[in-house]
Amino acid sequence: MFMKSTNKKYLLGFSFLICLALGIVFGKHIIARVFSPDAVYEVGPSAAYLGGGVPVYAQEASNIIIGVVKAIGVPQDNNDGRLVVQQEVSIDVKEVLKGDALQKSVRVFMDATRTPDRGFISEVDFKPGEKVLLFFGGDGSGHYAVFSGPAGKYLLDENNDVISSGGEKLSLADMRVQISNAMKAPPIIKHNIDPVPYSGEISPKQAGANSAMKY
Amino acid sequence: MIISYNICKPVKLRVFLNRNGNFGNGFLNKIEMKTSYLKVIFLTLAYILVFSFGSAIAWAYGLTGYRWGGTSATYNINNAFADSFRAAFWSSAGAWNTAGSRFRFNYGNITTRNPNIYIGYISDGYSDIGHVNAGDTAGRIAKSNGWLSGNTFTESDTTFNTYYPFTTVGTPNSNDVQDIMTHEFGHWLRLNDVYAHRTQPSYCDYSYEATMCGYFVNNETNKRSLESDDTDGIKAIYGI
Repeated sequence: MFMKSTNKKYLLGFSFLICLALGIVFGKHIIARVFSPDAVYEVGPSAAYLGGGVPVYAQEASNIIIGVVKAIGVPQDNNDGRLVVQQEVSIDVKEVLKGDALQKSVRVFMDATRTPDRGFISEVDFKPGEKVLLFFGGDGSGHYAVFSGPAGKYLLDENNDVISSGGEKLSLADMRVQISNAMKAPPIIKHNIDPVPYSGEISPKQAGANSAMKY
Repeated sequence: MIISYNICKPVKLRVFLNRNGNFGNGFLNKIEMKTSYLKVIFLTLAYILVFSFGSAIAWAYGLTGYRWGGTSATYNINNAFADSFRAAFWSSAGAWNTAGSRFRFNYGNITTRNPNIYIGYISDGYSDIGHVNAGDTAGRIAKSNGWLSGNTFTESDTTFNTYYPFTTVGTPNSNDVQDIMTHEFGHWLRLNDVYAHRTQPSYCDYSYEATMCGYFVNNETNKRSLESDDTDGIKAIYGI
C-alpha cells in the first residue's frame, strides 16, 4: 500500500475538504475563465484614452461632480447612416468639485455601439440610483462626456469610499486631496490649440500645427 | 536494501530496493512518510496549483466577436500626415503583420479622405487614417470604428484627435503616434481594449506593456511592440 490504511483514509478525507473549500472560494472564477476564455464581446467606436489617473484627470476634466444617477436613456442612432450612437445619462448633482457650481443636474453622453446581434453597448456602464464621482470633458458638440471613458467614473459606497471601475478603493477625503493637489500642480498634458466646435471637415491648415506634425 | 534520505528533519523517506538494486514494482508501496508532514506538503501543493492556475488564466485579450472576412485589409493615410507619421503607421501595421498570424495589413495610398469618427462617419468602403480637432476634450486621443456586413468587417477607420499633440520623435508632452496606431490597428483586427491584467487588477497604464491596453500616457512607446497577449489575440481570430 501507498501508506498505512488509516493515513490513507485521513488523507482522502482531508483532500476532499480542501477541494471543497477551494471549489467554494475559486470555483466560480475558474469555471468562468475556463469556459469563457478571455472573451469580452463588443464592437464599435473604440477610443484610445488618456491615462495617468486622478493627477491627469483632475487637471484635464472641465467638471468633476459627485451625484446620483437619475435616469439612463436609450442609446439612439442618428439614423443618417453615420456610425454614431449615443446614450444619455442624467445625473443629480450633489456636489461640484470642479466646474460650474450652479449645476443641479447634468446630462452626460456616452458613445454606444449598435451591434447586429447584441444590441447596444455603451462606453461606460451606469445604473439608476448609483452614487458616483464623475470626471467630465466636452465631446465637441456641447455635451458632456465621461473623461477617459470607464476610468472617469468612480462609485461611492455607503462608507463614502470611492471605488474605481477597476476596483481600487480609497476614502472620499483622500480623493478630494488628490484632486485638490492635482489642480494646483503644473499642467501635465499640453494641447495643440483650443478646441473648436466641429463645423465640417477641418482642412489641414485649420487643424493646427505643432513641432512634430505638419498638416 | 534500504536507502534512507533525510529530506528535511524529521521527514524520512525510506526507499526499499530489491535484490537487484532496482526499485521494483513495489516501489511506491514501500514509501512511508509521517502523516503530519504529508498534510503540510499536500496543502502547500494544492495552493501552489490553484494560484498558478489562477494566474495562468488571467486576462489576456478581448475579442469583439467579429472579424474581417479574409485575412487582409488595406489602409490609406490622409495626405496631411507628415512622412514621418506615415512611416510610423507602416511600422504599426508591420508589428501586426509579423505577429505570427495569417492576417496582413496592406498599405494602399495617400488620400484626401479624412474620416471623423468623433461625429460619426458614413461608410465609403475605404479604411482610412485621418485626424481632426473636433473639440473633444474628454481624453479620447484617437478613435477607431468599423463597419459590419453581417458579422464580417468590411471597413475600419481611425481618427486622431489633434487637440492632443502627437509625435514620432519623442517630443515632450506628446503622444507617440506609432504607439497609438499600433493599438488602433488592434481594433481594426477586432481586438478589444484590455484594462486589467495579471499583476494589476485596476486599469492598465504605462506599466502594462500589452498593446491593447486602452490607456496612454505621454511619450510612452510600450505599445509599439506587441506582447504575447496581443499576438495570442490575433492568432485566435485569424489563425497562424
